[in-house]
Amino acid sequence: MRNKLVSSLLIVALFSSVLAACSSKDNSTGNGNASSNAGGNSSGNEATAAADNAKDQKISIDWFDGTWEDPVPGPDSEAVKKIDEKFNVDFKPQYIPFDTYEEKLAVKMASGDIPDVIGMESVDANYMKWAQQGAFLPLDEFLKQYESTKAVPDYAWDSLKVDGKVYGIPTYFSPKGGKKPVIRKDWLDKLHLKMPTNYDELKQVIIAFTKNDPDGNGKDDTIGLGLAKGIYYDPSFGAYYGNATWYNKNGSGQYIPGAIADGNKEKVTFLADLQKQGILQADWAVTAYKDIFKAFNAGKVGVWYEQPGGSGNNGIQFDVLKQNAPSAEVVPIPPFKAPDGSQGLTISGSWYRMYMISAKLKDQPEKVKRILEMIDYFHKPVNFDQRNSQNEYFDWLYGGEGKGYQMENGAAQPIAENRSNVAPSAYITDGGWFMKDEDLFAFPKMAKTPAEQAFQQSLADLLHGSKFYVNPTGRIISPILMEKSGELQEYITTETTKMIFGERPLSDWDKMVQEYLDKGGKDMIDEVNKALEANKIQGEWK
Amino acid sequence: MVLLALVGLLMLFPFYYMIATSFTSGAESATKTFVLFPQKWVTDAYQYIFNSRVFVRSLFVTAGVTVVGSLFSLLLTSMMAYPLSRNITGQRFFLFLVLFTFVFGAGIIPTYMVVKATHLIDSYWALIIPGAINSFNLIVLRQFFLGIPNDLTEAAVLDGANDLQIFARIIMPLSKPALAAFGLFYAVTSWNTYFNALIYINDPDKWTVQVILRQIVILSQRLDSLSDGQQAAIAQAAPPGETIGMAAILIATVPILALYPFLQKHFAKGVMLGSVKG
Repeated sequence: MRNKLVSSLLIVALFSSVLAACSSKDNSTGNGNASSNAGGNSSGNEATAAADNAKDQKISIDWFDGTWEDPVPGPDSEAVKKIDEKFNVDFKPQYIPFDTYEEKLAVKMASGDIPDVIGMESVDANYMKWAQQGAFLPLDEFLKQYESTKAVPDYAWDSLKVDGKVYGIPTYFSPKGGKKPVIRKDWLDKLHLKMPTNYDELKQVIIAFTKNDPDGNGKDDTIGLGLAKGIYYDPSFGAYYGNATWYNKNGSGQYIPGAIADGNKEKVTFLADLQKQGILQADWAVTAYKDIFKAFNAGKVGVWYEQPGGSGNNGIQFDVLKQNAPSAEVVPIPPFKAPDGSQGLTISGSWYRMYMISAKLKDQPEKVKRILEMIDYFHKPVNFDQRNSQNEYFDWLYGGEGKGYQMENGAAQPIAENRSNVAPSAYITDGGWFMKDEDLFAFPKMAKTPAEQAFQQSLADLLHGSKFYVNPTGRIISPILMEKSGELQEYITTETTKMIFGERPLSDWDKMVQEYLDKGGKDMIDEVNKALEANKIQGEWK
Repeated sequence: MVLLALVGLLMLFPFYYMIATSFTSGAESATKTFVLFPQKWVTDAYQYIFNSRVFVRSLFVTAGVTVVGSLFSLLLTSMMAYPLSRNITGQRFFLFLVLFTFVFGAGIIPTYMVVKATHLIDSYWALIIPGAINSFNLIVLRQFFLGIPNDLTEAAVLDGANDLQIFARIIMPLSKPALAAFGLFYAVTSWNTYFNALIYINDPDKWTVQVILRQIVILSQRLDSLSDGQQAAIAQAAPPGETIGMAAILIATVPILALYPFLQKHFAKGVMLGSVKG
């Protein structure tokens, strides 16, 4: 007890000294930046010259972001020179692999070493904290000025608002993207089964896939339903069933997460029944999901997941699957019709990665303008048939044909080892809002094998034709939701896993829901619904 | 004896598994959850890594930082430990200062601010200077120096040697075993430089092998809890396969592992020396 007290006192002391240091540092670097900028300008005084020859001024921009590019883009590459020339700037980028980016960003922000442009992957507690502390520039006044930001739908802006103001510019990521359930169509055909349209039919299909030797090798070695530790890739077939979708409402009309709604109960009952009959693979509760991908590539799994555009080496590899199961045909499973009559998938977000501008630039409108122009320039949608060297814009973004990319079967494929050096789009995220799923339909054209092409085409067709539910929690920022939803979901996962194995009776469902509410679920639901009401947001179908 | 041998083999198994996986072809590893013995031994993964300019470069960077850093650390540590082992004024005070840092660290952010203020950001010295003296090592080394009898240094003084000469000609040669041990500690720490490189170095060309390794491993292993957007982005970056991840881990581990047998010799000798001269 005493130890705890001492250590917490020490932590407080440490923390306050850190904070004090930050605030003092803030000021000094702020001034330092301004003066060094002024010094760098040939015209000398930035403020007076700004009005006349703003365009001619070379502006220095510190750009800090994470990346998945391999190798990580460096500070003096050909691409940096291209960006310097194009926008008349001194572009100073710093990129860190995303999995460790957060740590470095937190250190930089806390020590007051704030870059001009800050990239982040998604909205999180840090984004909210820094926005509230005034580290970022509010961008609302600019959003109507650029083509790229005008195209962003309201529900995307909603997701970026902190206390009513937008601080980040998002980069498009298909709202219909993400892992979708897929099935081996050749197995269905071989066993004369129809595509399942509800959990009962799915159960019959899974049993047949497991027991009736769909791959015809005479061995009992197939997995009907791929299921992995933590019920990873929640086997939900529509918005009504999704654990993380706030679609259902409770008795008092509040939105509740799918994890504690009837849809999940139906799903867990379905899985428990399969478990009882010995249909699920015996060790699913300790199998990593990546191992199911491997089993799928080996041609042994009937129902599993893949996303538009595929997941490269980390997902279904159609060339490998073809070697192991030459007749394999993979198609997506359409959403089930739910008991309430709804039938459709969920939109959880429509963007991935965003840019914030440091609040220190509030007195440098020219610099802010230049940065926004740069982002706007990169954020233009390019249709598939334009993605080649004839299109000057695309060619520039991707570093030129033969250098940054090469054409294979009419599709531009990046040259991995050169891209970080020559392609400006390895530095600043590219892509604008597509309105008619053009991006989904481009995937089949970029596919490397006919089997993959057929799958991507059927997936694009299905997603284009499906209804989508906009998850209302994606449009608000709720601190309790951010803090609690993960651990609460884990609780449900653990308890429902017990139910599937029969260690806890299904009749305990209501008790489990009550435990969930007592563990903080109620506070979360209250806060989310309050935020939804305050912002007049409903769950809606698109 | 047999049991010991079995346990020993068990310890080697993870290494064997890494070697086996790294020599497996990409297509085979995409279907097998566990490779005990590859159907075909291929060197694709190693070719990929040695063709990647970034990885090879980072190996050289790390080797440089390790060599310079360990020597620098040894020099500074022994130069401080020695005086603290002799009767000098303020000995207790300086010892207290060392012990204080042993218990209380400054934390990441103040340290970052010091490194930034001293203009070490983006310099290899940022990887060497901040951790140059490990207070634990310093105290143990001082303990070792205390075991060297004062008579020796007094004799040297009579022969006309000054303090620096005594340190360089008498103390250091007598301390070879201790220096080998601490050299190894420092070398391993330098070789494993990861967080400092990440925080203090902005230019990817100057990153140490551990930073690059982590990126390769993250990209090559299908990690849990990635968002849809992240997965799509990783897929677009054409991630290296699992075999490459394993090969990279091996290449990054073997050089420092190879250091142990060489220094082992000195350890053994060290024990003997100490016991005789007591």
